[in-house]
Amino acid sequence: MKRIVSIILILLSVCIDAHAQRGLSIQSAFDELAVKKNVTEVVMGAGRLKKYKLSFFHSLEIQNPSSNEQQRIEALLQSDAEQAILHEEHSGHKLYELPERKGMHYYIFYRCSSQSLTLIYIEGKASLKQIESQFLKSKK
Amino acid sequence: MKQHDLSYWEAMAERYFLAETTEKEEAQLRKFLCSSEAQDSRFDEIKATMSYLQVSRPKRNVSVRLPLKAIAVAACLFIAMFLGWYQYQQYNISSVRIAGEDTETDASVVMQKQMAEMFNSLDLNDR
Repeated sequence: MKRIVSIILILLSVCIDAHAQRGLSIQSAFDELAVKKNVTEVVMGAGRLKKYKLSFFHSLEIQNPSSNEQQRIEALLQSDAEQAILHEEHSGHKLYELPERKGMHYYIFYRCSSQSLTLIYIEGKASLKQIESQFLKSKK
Repeated sequence: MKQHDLSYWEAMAERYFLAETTEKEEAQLRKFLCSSEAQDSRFDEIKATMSYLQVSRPKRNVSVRLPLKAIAVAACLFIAMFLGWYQYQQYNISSVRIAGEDTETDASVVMQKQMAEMFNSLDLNDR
């Protein structure tokens, strides 16, 4: 009986860990803000991202963000930025690359203007250059 | 139960050992042995014998263990199937939610737009 309970607990822990966004602080932003009226949330799994060599895409786009929402997200972002190995910033746009793990890359993108705020979390095997070429190509 | 003196029960105990008692009498005897009147040492032997037979009787609930095990295995299988289904859903998920409500919008179109906007503004050419 104990063995069966152990198996159940292991299966549950594997499942819960699957898409916990590596325990990042920005997970709270997705949890808290996704249900707000002015928010669009996009979630895509590995099955739909094969051609980009990605395994997970999660974004949050807030129309006319309040200063509270902006501050909240930036504080959470700052917390995750501490472990970033790459940080690029240009006119309100930010990019963080988190440490690679078992061949997987993890990226956080952030963009904020008075009209909208976008927060994106991506994980997959593609390098930043590969992702950039894929998405700029798909726009052309 | 009708009142009897101790000699009546002593006689019944003797008949019990000779296997001459009926099931009804044995039930009465068992009841009597649990009462305060049966504290006399003359009934020690019959008490020991009857309690031993009671305790050593095969347990009926032995078979209960098997269904419990079967239920646990079934629950384990059910959870494993649920987790498999959940992982499959996560693998194939593609959703656009506005205010927490699912919409018909194509998620890949929104994703491409958002990513293109990001890369257009970030200058990564020098990397």
